Amino acid sequence: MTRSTKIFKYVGKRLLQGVPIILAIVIINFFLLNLAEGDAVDVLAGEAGSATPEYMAQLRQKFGLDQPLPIQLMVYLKNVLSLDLGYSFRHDMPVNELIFDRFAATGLLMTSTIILAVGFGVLLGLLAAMRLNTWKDAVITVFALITYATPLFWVGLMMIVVFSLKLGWFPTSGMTNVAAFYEGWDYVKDVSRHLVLPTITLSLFYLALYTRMMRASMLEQYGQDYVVTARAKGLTERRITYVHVLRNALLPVVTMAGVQVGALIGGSVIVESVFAWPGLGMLAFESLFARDLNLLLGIFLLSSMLVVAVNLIVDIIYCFLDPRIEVN
Amino acid sequence: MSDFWSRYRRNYAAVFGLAVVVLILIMALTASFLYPNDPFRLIGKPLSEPFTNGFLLGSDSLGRDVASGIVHGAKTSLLIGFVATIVSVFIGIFFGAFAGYFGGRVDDILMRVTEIFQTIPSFIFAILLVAIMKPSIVSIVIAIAVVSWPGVARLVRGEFLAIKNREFVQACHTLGMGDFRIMLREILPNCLSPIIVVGSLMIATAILIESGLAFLGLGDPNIMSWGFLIGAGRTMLRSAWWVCTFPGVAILITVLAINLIGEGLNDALNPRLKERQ
Repeated sequence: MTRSTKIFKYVGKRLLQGVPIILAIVIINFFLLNLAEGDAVDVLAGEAGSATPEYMAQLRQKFGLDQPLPIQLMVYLKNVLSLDLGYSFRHDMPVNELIFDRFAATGLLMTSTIILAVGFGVLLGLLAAMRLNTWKDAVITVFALITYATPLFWVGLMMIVVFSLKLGWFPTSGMTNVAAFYEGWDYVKDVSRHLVLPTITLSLFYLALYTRMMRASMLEQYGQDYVVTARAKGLTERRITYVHVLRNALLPVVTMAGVQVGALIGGSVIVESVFAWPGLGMLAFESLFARDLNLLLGIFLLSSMLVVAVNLIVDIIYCFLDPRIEVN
Repeated sequence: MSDFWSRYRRNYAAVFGLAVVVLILIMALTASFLYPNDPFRLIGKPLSEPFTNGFLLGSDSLGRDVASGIVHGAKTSLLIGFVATIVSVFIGIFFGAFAGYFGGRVDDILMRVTEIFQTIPSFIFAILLVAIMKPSIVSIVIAIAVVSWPGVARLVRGEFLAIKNREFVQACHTLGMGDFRIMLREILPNCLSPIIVVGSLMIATAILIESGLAFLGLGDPNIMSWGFLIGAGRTMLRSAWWVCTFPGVAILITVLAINLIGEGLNDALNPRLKERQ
């Protein structure tokens, strides 16, 4: 069997492995929904202001809420599989439409964050490892320690105080200048200006994480036998570092970037609510205040699926990066 | 013990972290003595700057004392961080010990469950749990514990796998010891050091999660906490930067100090690891 068909089979197998995980998450979601006080009919009755018990019973029958739990679960599974995540009574819109509306904004924020965090993390970690036990290493290590311990929302607020309120360099919140109606390049520039602070805020923690990991990973690789061989061959230290050690040291960082996506989504709830960035996190924050549980559960479900998907993608990238990895 | 301390002492940063945590602990324990008033009480001129009107760190928009809030909030953060960690370490030990010791089908099932909990985005899950159970100290502790145990479970499983085939465990089997006694009295004590290290780092993470929840308005409404102070102060960011700034510094210092202790414990409890580097 050639390597490409092997990888193809592996991808199929991994896809199948993702199915039970997603199923389990859907079931957890369903039980959380039932754990909450009151059901959709209570919410509707509350919204309407008044409702007779007969009317409520009728509504329950209509929504299937009078059925036993296992049957309700089957209906819920069927709905989720057909991408029907329920109805948001607050927004008067289906949950999946609301989520897809906000998805692009979060995608943009997360992509720029990952690029910044992984890029600079690798760079700083590399620098620290190459200048081991010098002042540069010390500064980078202390920086990583401190950012690792800082709450995201606080960093965001401090960024706003310094860069928006005092210096006036960047806007305090939102994704676009609402009053301006930019088009074309101006629009892109406007969004980028709004993107700077949220991206830096969200990436700082992961930057610290990747820096520490890259440093440790580089140091581990320097101790390997192949480095001794490379030195014995008379290669320059530069060549050893950039061509041999760097490549191998990158692998654990790439894995970590994939594993951290779930945490990144959690972080984006906080960062988006600090900067009023109109993405999924902001939507989750709004739904919290509106007690819009359907919406919150939908976001939770979708972000779990996203994590499963990203883990799969990282595994596949890994196969290509490191030919030693067995795909059977 | 003295051996342990002499190794721990070699890491100056860890000693510093320990000193800071002890100070914060003293601050938390003497909170009602330092600031006898309820931190929620309005005791002076709103939006006073630090060092004015008798406020050390200023007051918020309602005239509540920020310094008092920080001192009283220390109790909440430390308590929740500690209790949530204890609970999740117990869950993790339970899952990891059974999976590692019995292996086979048990291991498969328990590890699948662990995997699912590891896949779920933890902070959103915590938000959901607290929102559904209604915010209170108990629901926050449960939520943090539920999202943090998988790491411990994996660690404990690995340790159990490594230890369960050692000679001394086999000797226990020949002596006719029961499985539970072997797990609890023989294997578990041998994997305590990594659990302690991971646990100490988890306290820091728990404090960060708690402050994040409180910032989003999911704190216990009757209890002062650092995250709540920052969340309440963010609307006045333009006019009163100090309301958000100081509680954040408190979180930063506490979490940093606990992380330093964790690294110190790691060096002291796994001395061979340190010497190898």
